[in-house]
Amino acid sequence: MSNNSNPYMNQNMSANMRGMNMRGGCGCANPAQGQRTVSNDCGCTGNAASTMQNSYTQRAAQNDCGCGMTPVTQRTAHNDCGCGMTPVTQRAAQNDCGCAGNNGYTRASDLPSGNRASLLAYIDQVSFAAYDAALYLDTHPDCQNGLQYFRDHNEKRNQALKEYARLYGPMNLTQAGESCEAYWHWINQPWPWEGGNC
Amino acid sequence: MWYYEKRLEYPINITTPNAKLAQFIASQYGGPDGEISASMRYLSQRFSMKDRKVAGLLTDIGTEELAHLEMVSTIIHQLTKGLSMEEIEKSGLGPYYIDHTVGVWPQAAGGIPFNACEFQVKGDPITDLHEDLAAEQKARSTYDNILRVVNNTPEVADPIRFLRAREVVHFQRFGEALENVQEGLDAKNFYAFNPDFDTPVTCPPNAK
Repeated sequence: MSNNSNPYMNQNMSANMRGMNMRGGCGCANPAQGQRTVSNDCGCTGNAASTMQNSYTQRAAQNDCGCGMTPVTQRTAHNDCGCGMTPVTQRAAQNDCGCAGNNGYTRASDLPSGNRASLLAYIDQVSFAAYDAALYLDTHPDCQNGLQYFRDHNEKRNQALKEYARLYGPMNLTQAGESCEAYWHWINQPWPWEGGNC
Repeated sequence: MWYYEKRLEYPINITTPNAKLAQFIASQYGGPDGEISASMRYLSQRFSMKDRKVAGLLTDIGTEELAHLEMVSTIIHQLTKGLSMEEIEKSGLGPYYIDHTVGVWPQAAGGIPFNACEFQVKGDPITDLHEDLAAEQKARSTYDNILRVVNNTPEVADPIRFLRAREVVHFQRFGEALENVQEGLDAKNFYAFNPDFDTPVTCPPNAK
């Protein structure tokens, strides 16, 4: 049923219309609300553009929680903005995790897909770039370009490591907690010297 | 402390064992100018470097050298995996095999075991940095010597070339570190005092 006197109550409205009121958008039952609280999922589960379980965290007023509206803002760990991408991480403003195909940040979809070897090669490359930059920064600690270069590649590295652990198991002991619930997979995946003639 | 990441800094996939190459390349593992020597040298020298940039550099290059010693020992392991007794005896690996089978043990190609006499920690920043510049050149030369032998075996030559290139880059960084140290000294006489020993002990920044 719809309440024609209050446009925000009409779940059949287009996503555009729903999102236009930044404060109460995304089909939020209470348009007067800006910041949404843990218990208020603002009706996003009813929104075809977003399949999220978005009652997790407090969101800022501008966060369309995956409705497909922009701009989007920094989201917390539990908010996958409906992209269905895991693991989820805090994303910068430009990273809509591929929800609207926009430019900017490294997204899980930017990582090589397909196989372990190509993802590992990617990790090797961005890690090397970051480490070599770190050596340079040891003797040039105030080089702004160097700092930015390090940050960019380190961010890419962190994203890729998370994806690797999700798909193939832990790359280091920090990751072993999530990847090893019922068994200590750490010992079972290949050790790095086990290439070649196995 | 050190944390382990389960990957090599650069991939190594050697499909054909070769006992002779393993003996030669052993020098970059446990030889005088090899990666164990480099990592122990830098990680030990960092304690007597008052300049924080230099202490940082020695820590980070020393850590990368640990990754390199892992690579070299991996090369040796893959070159000796699956060797037959005939190959072992014919290649000259016999004496090593008696004491180590095909395990990986740090010694030079000529047989001298790795030992601390192969590196120095003088406790003087200028001296130690010159030691480090020399160490990187010695390692680079050793890799050049290895490449003359393995140049036609791409699966071995490829990671060796990577390691050689890293030595050259480390040499650059140590040169910058030496300049940094000299900037903090009396330009008329760099040797007037040992900045690590002759100046008062200071606490690190932000320490209470």
